[in-house]
Amino acid sequence: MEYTLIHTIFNEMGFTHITLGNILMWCIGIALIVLAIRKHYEPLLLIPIGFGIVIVNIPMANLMQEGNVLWVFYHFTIERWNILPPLIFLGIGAMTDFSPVIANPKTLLLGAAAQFGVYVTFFGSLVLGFTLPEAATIGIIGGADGPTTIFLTSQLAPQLLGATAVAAYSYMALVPIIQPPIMRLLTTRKERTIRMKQLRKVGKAEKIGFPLVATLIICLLIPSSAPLIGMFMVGNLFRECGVVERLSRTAQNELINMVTIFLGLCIGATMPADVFLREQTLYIFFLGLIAFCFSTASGVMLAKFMNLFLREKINPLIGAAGVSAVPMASRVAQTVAFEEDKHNFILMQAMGPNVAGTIGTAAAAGLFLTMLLP
Amino acid sequence: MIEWSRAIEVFCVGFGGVLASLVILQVGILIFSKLVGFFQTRFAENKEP
Repeated sequence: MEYTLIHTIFNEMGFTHITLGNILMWCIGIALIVLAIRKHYEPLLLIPIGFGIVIVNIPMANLMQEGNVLWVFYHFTIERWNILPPLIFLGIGAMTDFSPVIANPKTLLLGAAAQFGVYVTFFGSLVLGFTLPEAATIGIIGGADGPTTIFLTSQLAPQLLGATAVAAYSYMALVPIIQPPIMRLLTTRKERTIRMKQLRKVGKAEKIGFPLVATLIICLLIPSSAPLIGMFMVGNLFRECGVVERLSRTAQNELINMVTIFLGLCIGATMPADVFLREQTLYIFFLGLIAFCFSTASGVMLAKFMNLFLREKINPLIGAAGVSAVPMASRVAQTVAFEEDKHNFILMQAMGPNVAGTIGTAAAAGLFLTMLLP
Repeated sequence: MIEWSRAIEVFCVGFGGVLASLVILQVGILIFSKLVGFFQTRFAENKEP
């Protein structure tokens, strides 16, 4: 009897069921954690994602089996209710200042132009054999918006959730490396040294009214984007109205921190070896990079095109900030401008397309849902 | 089998829809800002003795 029990315990050990795939996924998870800690690559997400990858690839632990802890997190917060990305947007909205957009609304066009990379990659994904819904979820990586990528993928192609989420957050972290060469390639020195007028002061009434106006307009046009846009704007209203400081602080801190923990673990939990270690994962990372590059380029090119008609020229570097990696993309635009002229301050102007890109990516996701959701 | 006609439709409607939505939002913000400025000016004028 004792020998049977020992035999059972031995057979139930994870050690006796380790596969090469498990080991590879542990290496990937640990690599993400090391990058997050040593290089500060999106640590808030990549640490829980990395750890989720490690833990879900422990054989016999079965954390994604129905009723087990990671399954409960994933099933209810993403698979069934898809509640985490809108809650993240609530927190992001509470941290966002829309003054640059209100002061210079034409920067919304730059945020829209940056979504061109999403659709270029959509076509590229179809050519590589992905279905229409899968192509949409790969294309949205070009928006450089993690929560929107997760929101869309979990509805259109949940089997790709892990790969697309890791790709989105990885490229967001690599913005300072990916964007500058594209920006320098597409602009002349003269264009990079264009100085822009300081933005006008935006009144409190405008800042309070903006989230209401934006919610009504975008959600009436694209109702499918309402979960993201609505939460984004209610968070912003908490921030701007000035009478719910407690709610604003909670949204910016405790709420978004808790949601980030669950989201990261859930994403990591969708990456067991048999799902992640496939040829299509490599394609997803490659296509995600293409999406990102095209989004950067299209923002810059639209800014250059607008300059043909504008009396007060736009520095085309701010077009690259139309990807939603807030505020990293704006800082990169400023850094590249500084290389040519140490007295050219375009950070606030770049924040306009940067936050507009978040609205644009959410709108793009809403349209994909309207057209492709069965 | 790639459904090219559907893909092109998704591209045109999708990208066009994003552009159109943000253009409409831009117009909406401009009108809203003008209205706020107008009412704030009127309110300030009415308050003056």
